[in-house]
Amino acid sequence: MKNLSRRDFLKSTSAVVTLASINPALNAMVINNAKKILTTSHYGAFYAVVEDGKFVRTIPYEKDNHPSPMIEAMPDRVYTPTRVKYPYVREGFLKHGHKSDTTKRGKEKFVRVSWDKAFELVAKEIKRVQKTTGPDSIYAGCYGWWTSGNMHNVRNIAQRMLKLTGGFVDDVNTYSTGAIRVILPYVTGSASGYYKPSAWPTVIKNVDNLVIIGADPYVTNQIAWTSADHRYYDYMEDLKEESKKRKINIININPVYTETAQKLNAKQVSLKPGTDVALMLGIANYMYKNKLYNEKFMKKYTYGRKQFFKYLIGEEDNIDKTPQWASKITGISEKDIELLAKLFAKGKTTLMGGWAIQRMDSGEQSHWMMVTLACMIGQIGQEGGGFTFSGHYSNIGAPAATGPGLSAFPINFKNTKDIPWVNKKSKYIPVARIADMLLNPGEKFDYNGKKLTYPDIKMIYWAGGNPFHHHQDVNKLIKAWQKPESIIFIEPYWTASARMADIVLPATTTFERNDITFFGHGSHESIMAMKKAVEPIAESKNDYDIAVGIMDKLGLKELYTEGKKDEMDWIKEFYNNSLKQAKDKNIPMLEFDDFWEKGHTDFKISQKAKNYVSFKSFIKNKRKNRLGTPSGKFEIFSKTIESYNYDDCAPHPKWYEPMEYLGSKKANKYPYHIVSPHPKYRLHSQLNNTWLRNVYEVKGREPILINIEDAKEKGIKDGDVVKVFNDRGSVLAGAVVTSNIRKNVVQLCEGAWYDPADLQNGDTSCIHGHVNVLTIDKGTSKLAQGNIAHTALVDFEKYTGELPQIKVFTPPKTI
Amino acid sequence: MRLLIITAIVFFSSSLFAQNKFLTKQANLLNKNNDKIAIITKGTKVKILEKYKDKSLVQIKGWSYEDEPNDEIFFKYGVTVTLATRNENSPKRKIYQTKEDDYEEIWIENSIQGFIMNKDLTNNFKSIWNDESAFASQRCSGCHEIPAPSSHFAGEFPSLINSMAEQAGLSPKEEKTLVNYFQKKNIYGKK
Repeated sequence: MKNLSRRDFLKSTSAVVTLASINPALNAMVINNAKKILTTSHYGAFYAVVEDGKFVRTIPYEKDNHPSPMIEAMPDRVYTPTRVKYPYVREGFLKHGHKSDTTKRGKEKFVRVSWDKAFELVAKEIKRVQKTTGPDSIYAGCYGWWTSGNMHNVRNIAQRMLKLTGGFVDDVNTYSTGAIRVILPYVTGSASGYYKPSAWPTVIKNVDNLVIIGADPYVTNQIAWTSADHRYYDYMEDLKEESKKRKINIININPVYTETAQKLNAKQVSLKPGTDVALMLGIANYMYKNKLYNEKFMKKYTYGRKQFFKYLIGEEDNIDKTPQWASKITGISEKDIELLAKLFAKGKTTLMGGWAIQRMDSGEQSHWMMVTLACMIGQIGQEGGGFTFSGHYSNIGAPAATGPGLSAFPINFKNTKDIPWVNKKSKYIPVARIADMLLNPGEKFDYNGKKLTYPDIKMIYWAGGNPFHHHQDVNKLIKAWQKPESIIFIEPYWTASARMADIVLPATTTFERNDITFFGHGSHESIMAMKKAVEPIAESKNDYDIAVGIMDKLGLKELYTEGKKDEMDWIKEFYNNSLKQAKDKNIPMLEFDDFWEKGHTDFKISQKAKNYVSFKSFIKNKRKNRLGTPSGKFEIFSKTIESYNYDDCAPHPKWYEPMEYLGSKKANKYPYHIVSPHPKYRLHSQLNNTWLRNVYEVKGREPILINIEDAKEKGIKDGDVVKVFNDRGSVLAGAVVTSNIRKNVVQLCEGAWYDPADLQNGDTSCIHGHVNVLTIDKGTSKLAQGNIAHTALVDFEKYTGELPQIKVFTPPKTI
Repeated sequence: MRLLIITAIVFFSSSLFAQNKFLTKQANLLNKNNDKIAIITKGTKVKILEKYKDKSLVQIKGWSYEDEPNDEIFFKYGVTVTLATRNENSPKRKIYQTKEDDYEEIWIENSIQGFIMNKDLTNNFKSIWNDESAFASQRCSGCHEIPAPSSHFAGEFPSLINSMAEQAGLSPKEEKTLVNYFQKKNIYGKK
């Protein structure tokens, strides 16, 4: 394989072309004999080119104007050496079952077993735990982005199965949106600001100031929850065109001058990480004192402005949140803060908040403050004004087509008369509290106005996810992981999490099975077939068939499958449900056979959808279209949150010092703030096990962005390996020295596969650059209990020792 | 004494008779001339005042905005779950009390009376939601488990469901159906 330097790659104007030139599979391709199969994925739609039964390359889908270079790595997803090819059981677990030594997880060899034996072991273990300690001791993790298909929705497949066996402990919220999902209903009455922002055409036509806060949409819109249509990039082209006709200020508030900022030539506001709330308070304070805010809007459409203003000007706590005050915290000059305030008040201003700023200590406050600031600007419900919290996600903001919904594999059962237990509501935890749950069974904790108790988990069942990637403070998780008696993983790859399991069952990838999904998560412009391209690798099975195999052993197969023969029966049912909806509404749609043959059925986008402005109906008639808050208005002060009496979440937006940031005492010991945004060439940890990593890794390690001055002070050059460390652990990473990051801030993207130096002997430091070895595992506050991945301080130094060999992309020892 | 006995009998018989029922579907409230005077939403709890062969005289009691006399009757002040929507034929509303809520909004407790066909009334609240339950399951569970109706503030459902309507391909009518289903289960269902 040709070694392309990272710099060469980044200099390229066409990522797809560059990637193609180093993709070994491409060289082997013979176009004339190849079969082209249209399919889709989180990364976008494409043709899978199959030659002699082998998936050899991809060709972009003609309706995608901006295909992601990541689709080039799809064949390697199938053939990577990290595939789990057979069912395996950890040696100690095979001998001793649930009484095995759980400290041996990740250390012992795996023993290959037959599928029959594997099904029997899993069925027996589920039965044992359901009988002895019950459903409240089985945690159905199944959290992750594994597949975009509605059929092989691994979470639903696993949870339906566990529901039928007696029940399970569930989780709520996500690692991405832990705080915003909880806080927004209190503020805007639902998470609608998150789901359904104003459509891009109306924003572009009218906006004067597009303020991007803590987001990098050029990177993150490459992927989508269903299938990426990449319409965001079409609209950004329109934005660039529009800005040639009239002045549009694009402002990037972020410690990193992101790819988006570079592409849009944005003005940079390089604040200290975790200080966004202080910055917005400083802006609000200036607007308030200089009467630049919209008092009329605040009076008519908000509740709690008086209480908030008391806090803003220091009547509540004797701290006037002036630009001067904010400047000290954020590192942004007083003058710049005042300029921002004046600018926001002058033109049509859209505040476009990402989610990074709510994955921080007190993360609830950032979006609450952003809504408050948008209310003060007073343009919510107007074209080009207000706020959007999902412009960086799944190409949301693209106008939605008029089409039907699409069913997915059901968690629920149609007829529950003979199986009443499936209606039992599951106990749950906020998803990011998994380690606390495992370590502290029986402990009470606060969540969203409730007192919950951590259940005592004896068994973890996990399909299609990798907690050893996405959970904070890996060393804490390693300890927690030793608590359950059994851990079962359904997984195509030897991820860090699969290696830490007792039973690993090999699942197929998207390309080895049939499925169905939407093309365009926001636009819903087509329903697409995800046709099987190649036969399953080795003995891997579809997630659905794995669940059916387990259910068969438990005598529950008929109930589980509803008598359906295979995945195609379900897919047809989902499609025909949509077809019925379409017919009822006179929406043209292909019959199933024609659809499956063609690969897609498309829907039209109306002018109304292109003109959509969020909250416009509320502004038009605030009573008929009340918000879902108790007041029916935007709540800048929440009596409900006040009633919880939390010491870490006030009833109005408030600046809380994060437990670690550049202004805290700890910065004397660890003077660098580490941020861990989404990577450009992965979906979290997905694709790290493909050749694509050669494009960005530095000496086989995850790249870390280091400011030029910081690097100089430490004698570090571009391409050096550095050791990054704090009290929680250490990692090796590859230095990329740049002026695109603020001084005293380093960036190590999330998703590098965890490769512990020597787990056998207790050295859990990561030699590959997994950032969550360094992050903190704590809830945002008692309200949302989201994760705080972006709140962490570190130090770093040049690594001068012998470079350890990367092991994580080689399968573990098996017998 | 005679008056007292008669009053007692009337009171006793009316209280014996007065009972609550639920609407099995959205229905028109009619006056004695069979004019439509309001629309009552499915699942709304009504008080039966008199029962006749085919129809019953019912009362719907709830809260409305003070300054919008010809508008909706909601479940409670601040909880805008629509029970009934008046129209131009509606009689003047009977007012019980006025209340200012915590958010400086003034509400009045009021009621409306009229006739509903007996076939549209039931005692069994749970039994009337099979279609909606199946519909919610079919259209929502692709993305998430169906939330318990009690897991949200009742007033939150309109904007919550609206935010996902496009994802689920809901028409405005279907959206309204789901909102009503979750809201009614929220206010009358077991908490």
